[in-house]
Amino acid sequence: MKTIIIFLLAGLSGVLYAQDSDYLEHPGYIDFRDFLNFNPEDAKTEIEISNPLLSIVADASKDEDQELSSFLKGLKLIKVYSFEIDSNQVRDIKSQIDRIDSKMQKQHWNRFVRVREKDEVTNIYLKSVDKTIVGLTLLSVNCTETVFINIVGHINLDSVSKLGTKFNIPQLDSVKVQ
Amino acid sequence: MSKYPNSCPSEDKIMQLAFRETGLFEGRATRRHLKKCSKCRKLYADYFALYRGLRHVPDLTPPPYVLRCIYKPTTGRNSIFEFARPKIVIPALVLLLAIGIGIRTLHKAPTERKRYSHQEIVQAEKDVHTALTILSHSLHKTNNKIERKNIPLVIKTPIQKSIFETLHYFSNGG
Repeated sequence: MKTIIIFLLAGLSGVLYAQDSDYLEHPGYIDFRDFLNFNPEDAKTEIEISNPLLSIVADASKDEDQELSSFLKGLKLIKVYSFEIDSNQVRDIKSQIDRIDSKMQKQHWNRFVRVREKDEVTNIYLKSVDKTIVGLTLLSVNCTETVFINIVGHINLDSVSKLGTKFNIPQLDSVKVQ
Repeated sequence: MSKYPNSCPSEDKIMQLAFRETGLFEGRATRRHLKKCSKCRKLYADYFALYRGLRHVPDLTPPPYVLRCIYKPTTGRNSIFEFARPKIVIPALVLLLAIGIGIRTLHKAPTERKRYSHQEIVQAEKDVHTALTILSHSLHKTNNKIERKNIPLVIKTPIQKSIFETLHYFSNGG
């Protein structure tokens, strides 16, 4: 009986907590702290914007840029970390990115861009659920800087196509659809 | 008419005394009578012998598994009283209460939206633009590398292509 009550109270507190940070269980969310040996306080840039603030920004930019607004509307979190590094750290960060890469692929993230040069690596991942993009992650390192980006939420494909038509975005010749 | 003289206690009282069912003072008169009445004493002796005999009869309650076999078909597991036991009812009520509070809280959540100051919103707008600029910058560099090296970028689905085109839009500064 006691166990049942404790379980229920724990569940209830989870429901209440989930309101403030409902992206934590979102399939498009990545907690970089699980993978990286960086202290967020050392970041050159640290941005973490979640709902409801993100929706307010989307509403605020509605008049200026409708497409950007609808792009932001479906998002739950934008998280960016960038760190200044020196060239001695590149090798270590590259190996960290390799470790993340294998973990992310196990979690069904689809790596659709991978650029790897001597002192540079850039990986871009998409997570889709039921043909909907629910997360985007970018991991990048070069000899001066490393960047980690995680965008969580429903990326509205209607607004994507409108953006393309409205701003006459050139088709990427290098992109081939299989 | 009773087979005992009027002064004799009733047979029930003698039996109760023999079966130790009378109180300490209640049976005193009967016990006094037994001392002087041989008929009643005989009757008492018979009942007492029966009492002693019954005490030595082994427990006739069937073992639990036999009882279960007997009671199961008659009472049945689906009896309404089966579900009305406190062990089931209390957790069910607690569960309902928790679900009710959860639904109510979630339902109320949009109306209880946190208020942000103008400064916080302006800062958030700047942050969003900074985030998209950093994203754009990274994508722009990546795109340049891909084009410079003339690497055909293979994307598996049209969804991925439209996403990449959107990001390309940001990489060109919008």
